[in-house]
Amino acid sequence: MPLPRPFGQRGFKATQFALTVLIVFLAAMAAYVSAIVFDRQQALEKSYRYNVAFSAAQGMNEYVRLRERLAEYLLAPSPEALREVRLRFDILASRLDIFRAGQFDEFVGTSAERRQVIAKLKRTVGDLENMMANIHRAEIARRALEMTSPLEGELIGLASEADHYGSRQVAEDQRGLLRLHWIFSLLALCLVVCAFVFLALVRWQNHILVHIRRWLRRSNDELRNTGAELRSQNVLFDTALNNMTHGLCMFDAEGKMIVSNRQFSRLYGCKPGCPEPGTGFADFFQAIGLERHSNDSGRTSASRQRLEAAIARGIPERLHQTLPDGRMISLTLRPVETGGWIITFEDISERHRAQERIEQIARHDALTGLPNRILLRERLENVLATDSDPCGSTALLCLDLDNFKKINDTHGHPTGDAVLREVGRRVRSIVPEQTLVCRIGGDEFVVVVDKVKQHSLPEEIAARIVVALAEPFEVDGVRILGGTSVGIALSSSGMEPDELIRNADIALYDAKRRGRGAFSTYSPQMSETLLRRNRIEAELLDGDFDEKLDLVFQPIVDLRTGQPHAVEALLRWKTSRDDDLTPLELVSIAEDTGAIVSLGRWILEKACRQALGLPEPVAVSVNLSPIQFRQDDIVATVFDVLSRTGLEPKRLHLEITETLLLDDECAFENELGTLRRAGIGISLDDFGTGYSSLSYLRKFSVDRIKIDRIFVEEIDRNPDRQAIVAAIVHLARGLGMRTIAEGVETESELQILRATGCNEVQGFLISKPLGPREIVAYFQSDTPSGQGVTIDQPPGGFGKAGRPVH
Amino acid sequence: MPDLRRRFPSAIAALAALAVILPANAAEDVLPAPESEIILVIEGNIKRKNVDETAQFDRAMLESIGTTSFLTSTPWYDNPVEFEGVPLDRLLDAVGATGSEMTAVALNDYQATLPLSDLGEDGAVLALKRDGKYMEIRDKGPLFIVYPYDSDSRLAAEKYYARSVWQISRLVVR
Repeated sequence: MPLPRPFGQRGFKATQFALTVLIVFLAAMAAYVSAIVFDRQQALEKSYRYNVAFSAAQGMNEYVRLRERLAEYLLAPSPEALREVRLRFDILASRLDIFRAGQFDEFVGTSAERRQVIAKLKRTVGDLENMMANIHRAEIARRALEMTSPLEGELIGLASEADHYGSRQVAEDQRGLLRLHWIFSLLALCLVVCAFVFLALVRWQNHILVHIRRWLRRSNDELRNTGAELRSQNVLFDTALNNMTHGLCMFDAEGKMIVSNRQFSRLYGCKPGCPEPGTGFADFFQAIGLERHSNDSGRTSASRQRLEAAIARGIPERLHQTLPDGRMISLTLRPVETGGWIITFEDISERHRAQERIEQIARHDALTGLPNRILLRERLENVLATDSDPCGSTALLCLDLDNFKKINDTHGHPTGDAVLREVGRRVRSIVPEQTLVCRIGGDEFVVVVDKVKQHSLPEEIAARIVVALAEPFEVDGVRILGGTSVGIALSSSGMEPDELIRNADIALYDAKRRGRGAFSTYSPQMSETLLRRNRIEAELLDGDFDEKLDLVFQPIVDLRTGQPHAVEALLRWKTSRDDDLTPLELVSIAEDTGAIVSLGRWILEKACRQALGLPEPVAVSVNLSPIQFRQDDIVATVFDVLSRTGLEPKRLHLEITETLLLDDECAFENELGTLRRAGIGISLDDFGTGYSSLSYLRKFSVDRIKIDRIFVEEIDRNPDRQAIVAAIVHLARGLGMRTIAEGVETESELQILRATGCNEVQGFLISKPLGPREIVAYFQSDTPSGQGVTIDQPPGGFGKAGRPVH
Repeated sequence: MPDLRRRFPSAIAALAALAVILPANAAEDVLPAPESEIILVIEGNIKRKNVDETAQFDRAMLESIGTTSFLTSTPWYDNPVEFEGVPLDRLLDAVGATGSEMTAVALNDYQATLPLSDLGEDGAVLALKRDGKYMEIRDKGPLFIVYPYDSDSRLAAEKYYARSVWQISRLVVR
């Protein structure tokens, strides 16, 4: 706050100066007056001028007294009187000397008359001197008395004049005194005026002082307030500084440290206030362990170079510093807008460890502890990038368990997990030390063998894996069958990790197709197969089966009556295809993709509708996939189709394969029972190709057993097959089941079958599969010609349809 | 402050005088009687007397007390003159004067009163000689109270000129 102008320093100084000048002036005046008065006093003291009048009066007196003594002597002459005359004369003579000297002489000199009087006196004294010797003589004394008479009056006049002269001198002195008095009065007046001016100036100065004091008080208050504010801000600043989680150091534009906080000291384990404020960057970096030249590793010196470069360029920088005790500090350097720098420090050890743990977790499988897909990819990227001919190529082995889903479903997930852990352990134990073993999801594992020079090595490893995993697993005392398939892919230069993994996957698929417990090395043809399969899958999932597919029906003949009493619905392409895809393949693919559910429903419904167009009680037999049992509520689907089409349940036969009974023996017993109780016939298809377990034949009561065509083929020339078929027929009959022989193509085969006691037959001998209209026509004609008539009319009485053979 | 340089010879002289006078008059406070013409009579508060209640001095008696001399200018003479005489304080001591003041009476009956206390300090002298000669009555004799006017400007003033009485015949101590 500036001081108001009139009260500014200049005004105050001017007033002070004026006061000083005035005081000096007053002092000078007083001294001057004093000097004048003193001088005058001195002059008056030293003057002798009044003596003139006195002297004149004395002289006159002495003259008169001499004449008196002369008169006395004349009246009464005596020696005493005479002596007295002489004394008075001497005194008068002495006075004459005084009259003629000093100031009196000056007084006399101013007037001729006075000079005359004095001359007369001198003459008279001279005359008296001469007479004094004889003064004792009366006549002389008388003459002296007479002689002195005239001068008496003149001397009285002189005395009067002297008195007048003296008074004039006095008047003159009085005038001088009056002048002095005036001067003095004037000076006094001046002093009074000055005193007033002085007073006024003092008041003015006082006024100024009061203003200045007020102003100072206000300024002081403001300063105090500002100070208090600053203090509280300082306290706030300190509190904030020392309570932040980060360490902090601030530097000014010259690179000198201004302030650091407590957290910083704690981080670096130094005393508070050390490094001291004022420390330069170089010393500071040294103090926190960022050496310029490091002996052990180039890390710290590189950090310091980065920081110094950032400071030189005025840009922010961030880096991590690892302290000797292992802690990790994140160090952030930022320029401050107002010039200078701020460095923050954060202990990120925890975060870093967590990061590492997360990375470990992210790159490893929690269950087996093996690396996961992410790490696999990273490793592959590295390996493939450095892959080159002299080092050999990289082999990737992809494997999954053949029946893991079943293990999980049957024994529960904990057991499944235990199996997976054991798989990991076994694989790990049989591959070379440096080999990467990953679990990339579910029951899929990948083994990466790099620097493969020996081409047989991957397959050797794959074989070992297959053997190792074929050993049953034992979890909680339960033995579980394992088994795996392995796909192998070898890298070629410039190959991407994804491609290599895909190739291995394709090889694995191929291995699985070739049967369980197999391994397969990738070849480009596998890709083509897969591509084809993918295309078919896409077509299936596309959905419109009416457009592409059709059902054909193959009649089944009851050997007892010789009449066709059922037809088996078979799937066919509507139009011929470029690829030679069989319906079997199609179903297989549909099973793999899950399209089998909708496809199965479509088949079921189409077959049932077709059956309605056939004469009663001709039944239609439809194949069901095990997948339909697993993925669909097959009972509801069947009943739904029956109710919608209005087909009697007894005119529907369902064909299942024995794998369904094997896979899910407990699960589907109810479903099959429900279907059978509803009147639907159940046939066991392809009997003899699989396990052909007799126990489940007893357990599950099915209506019919279909003997696979491989046993029927050449049955007339092969006694073994004949024996098998006879055993099956015998067995079925014993269990109260009917038998159907498939793929009957020759008369002799038919004869044999008939001889073994087989109940029903189907095959080209009877009829090839017929389209929807043809099958209708087949049943309408009395003797369906061109449909194996010769078979219809065997010697044993195969007659026309609808008629008993016998 | 007294001027020792000036007063020192006087003190020696006074001691010398006392050595002459005191043994003779040790028994009584009596001054020796004057032998020639009496030129000074001191009366009033004095202890030592010789005629009735007065102390009367001839020239020789005065000179026996001790004299001093100095050269000074005066208002009465155009040139500086040398006076020689008895210092007044020593004279008054010689008569055992007590009191505060002294009146000097001249032959022409002129009177002046001098405070006793100042006499020594002012250096007042009862002069007998001027320029080496005894002063006649016609020349302000026989005794003339003078001061060393030039030695101190304070003395060259009307006050002291008025005290400078000539043709002294009598001193009255009160």
